[in-house]
Amino acid sequence: MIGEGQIGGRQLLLILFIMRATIGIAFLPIVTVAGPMEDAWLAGFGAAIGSALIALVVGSLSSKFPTQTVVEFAQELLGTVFGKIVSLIFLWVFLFVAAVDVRMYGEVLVTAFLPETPLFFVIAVMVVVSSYAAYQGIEVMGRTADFIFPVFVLMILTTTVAAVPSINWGRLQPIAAKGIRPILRASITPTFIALQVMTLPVLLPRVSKPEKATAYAVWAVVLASFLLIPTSIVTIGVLGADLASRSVFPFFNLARAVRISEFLERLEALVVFPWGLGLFVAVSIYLYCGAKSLAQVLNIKDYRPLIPPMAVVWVAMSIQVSADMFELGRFFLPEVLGPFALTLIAVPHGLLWLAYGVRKLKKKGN
Amino acid sequence: MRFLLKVLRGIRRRRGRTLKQLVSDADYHEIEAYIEQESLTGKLENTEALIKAAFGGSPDLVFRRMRLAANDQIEVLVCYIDGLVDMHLLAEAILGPIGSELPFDLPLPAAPKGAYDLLGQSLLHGAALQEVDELGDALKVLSKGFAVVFVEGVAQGQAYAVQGWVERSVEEPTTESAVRGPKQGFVENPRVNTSMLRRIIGAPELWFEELEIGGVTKTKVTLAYIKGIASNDLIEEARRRLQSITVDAVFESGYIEEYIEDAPFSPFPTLLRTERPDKAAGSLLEGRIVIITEGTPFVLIAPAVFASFLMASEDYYERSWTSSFLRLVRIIAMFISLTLPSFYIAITTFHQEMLPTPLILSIAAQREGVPFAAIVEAIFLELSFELLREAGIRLPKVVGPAISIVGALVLGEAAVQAGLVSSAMVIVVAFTAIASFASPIWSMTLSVHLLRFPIMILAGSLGLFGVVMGLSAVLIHLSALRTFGVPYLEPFSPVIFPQWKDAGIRAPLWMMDVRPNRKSEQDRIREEPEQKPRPPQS
Repeated sequence: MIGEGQIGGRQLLLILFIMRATIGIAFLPIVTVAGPMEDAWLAGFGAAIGSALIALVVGSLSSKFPTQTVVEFAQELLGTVFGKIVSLIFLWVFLFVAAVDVRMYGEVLVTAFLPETPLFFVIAVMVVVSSYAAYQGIEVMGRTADFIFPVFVLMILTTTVAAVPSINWGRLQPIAAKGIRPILRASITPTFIALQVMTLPVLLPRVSKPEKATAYAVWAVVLASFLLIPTSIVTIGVLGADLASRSVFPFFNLARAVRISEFLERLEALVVFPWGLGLFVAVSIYLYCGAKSLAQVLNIKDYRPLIPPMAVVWVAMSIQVSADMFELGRFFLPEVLGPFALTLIAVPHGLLWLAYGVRKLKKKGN
Repeated sequence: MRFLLKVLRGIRRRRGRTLKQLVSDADYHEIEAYIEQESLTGKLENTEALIKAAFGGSPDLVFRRMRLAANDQIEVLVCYIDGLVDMHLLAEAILGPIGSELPFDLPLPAAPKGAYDLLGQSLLHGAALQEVDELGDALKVLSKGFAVVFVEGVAQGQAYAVQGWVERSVEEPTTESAVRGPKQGFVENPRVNTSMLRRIIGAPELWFEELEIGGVTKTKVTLAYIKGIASNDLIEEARRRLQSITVDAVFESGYIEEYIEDAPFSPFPTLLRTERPDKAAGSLLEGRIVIITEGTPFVLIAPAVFASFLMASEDYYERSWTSSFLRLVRIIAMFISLTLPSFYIAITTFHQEMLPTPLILSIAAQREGVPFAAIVEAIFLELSFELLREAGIRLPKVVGPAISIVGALVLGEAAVQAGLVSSAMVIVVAFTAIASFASPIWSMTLSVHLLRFPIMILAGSLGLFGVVMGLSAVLIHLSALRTFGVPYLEPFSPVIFPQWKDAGIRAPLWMMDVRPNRKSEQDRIREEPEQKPRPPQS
């Protein structure tokens, strides 16, 4: 357990895919955030393009420093103090996004399955298991993702395909009746959920071929965005645009509505299982990145001792992050999440890119 | 003892104390130190006394003082341990030639050294002998069943391998029986075991290295590998791990396993054990190493990845389709035996809506009279099953039927009728039990049994979510495990597609033309490609 090991490019792709797809499908923000829209699935294309751009901005900077995490190269570009402050923004993103993810999954579980279990307990179990994974290092997480990915995709696709016979195709019309603006608005939230890509600058030095990492990251977010298209088509087609947009977890409701035969109905488990597995990958990566970058900010050699205390903060954070499900839901409105995520992505990366450009120019000047 | 002391009387220790005092004080370290000082002097009297002292005058130690029949000036001492030597061989090949005219016409030399050499050439029909220069060596080989011959006036001894003791003959392996395939299993004698491997693998590349482990038991441990197929790193690592063991006793390969395994606290075994020579030979040919321990028919195979615990040697003897199907069945069985009770608990406690209405109604009707929660019921039944299993192994065979009747009647019938458990739960537990025994390797079965309980508790407290979290934890643990440097979940994670031919399924033999690449690039070609049978087109 001395070296933390490495992950291959494929594993990076799977990790980022799972992270993005989990939250994307859990909330299906395409469908819910922009009000009833029959053609909301079109926003999937917008999300794919938008998130690919984010991945490019984040990844291409990071791949200029293939052996350094964001904490290290930020200090190199901006000086020790400012670099550390910028790294704190990244740390905050990890903490916050993971807290929101965990909270959402906890809410689904408590609402749907475990009405008498305290939310705290559910969240704590999830974080404990994830910290075990983070403790084992990035290589183990990559291998776990290898295993989880097929299960994840298979179960999501099974649910989707099983729902196809129940689609009322009339519910999917009209397409783009109100012009392109509502579609763009609907694609804002799913785009900015790509905040997950901000883990890339921490993971990148651990990827066996860092120069290809950006390409893998772009592929991951694009593929995950495309996964949203069939799921949202099916959800709207089965539930109808109105019902789908008003439910908190539309895909979950879809699974409830599916009925294949007398013996095979109520496929929620098929949804909850991959969510659990996917979320577990996501949270452990956030924990790893959080602990890793905190360790580097504080100049601690080994990140592992930081995991238990961070896990405690994580649990508390996800309880405190919002009062209830609906407040959390409002957070995902394009008017809220858009500026929020844009700031978190643009400010640190703007600064870093600027510093990088200045440095390049200086070098040329010499 | 008195006789012994009388013999010892003449011998004086250089630094004050006599051997007599030493023996009666009975601190073995002092005796040992004394013997180490007293090297072989060529005085038979002395030698005999020292050997006797070392063994404490044990009654199974036999000394035969003889005079060479051809020349009665020459005195010979034959020493062996009764019961460890083959008496016929000893009489015919050692005592016989000494006591009768040696059958050759060389002039019999009077000098003791000449007689010594002559004996070396003629005893045991001239078969190889082991020279003994130190008394300590003589003591060691005596315990291994050698007969040691000393000649008066020669400060050396000759050890002859005349071992012969009662031992189990080669039988069908009891823990890994197969419908098709060789019926012989390893035995306790390491030499027989190596010979079985040699008979299967006829190439001189099969190398054995012998070590002695166990300060008191002095157990022979043999490291076997095929030079050129096993990677040198692996061999070196195995040798290093074996050599670093310093323990006083080794009774079974389990002792070795505990000292060389990668993850001592893991519930999963990281070394494979088998009593089938064909399986060991197959592993050798895949570039793995085999560790044979004296005194046990179970040999160890390393590295042992998770998938290898789901393979039986029969997989390679039956046709590919059926073998692949059986492997699939075993994988499912392992999954069932790990999770079925947990799923049952989770669904009946938290997710009743997932079952079709008629089924849930029938389960609910059965559970109506049961006073316990599903988790309590399940743990109670699972524990009683473990009890039954354990009792079934330990019981004298004659009482076995009684236990099975009591188990079947009391637990199966009466407990349900008394309303202590529901019959659905009995079915679940019974099915789990059957599934758990489909695993070909017992140590893996036990690991799965053990892990079942924490997952059941998670299912009882958090439903399916708990099961998922439990399985995730197991998955991380498995991903983190390594066995002799090889990731435990290979070839599934990290993904090595060529090896999938012999993991979850078993591809036809003519397709597996390359050996699994266990970090060794050496000698990877297993067979000529394109050997798919093509019957003539008529």
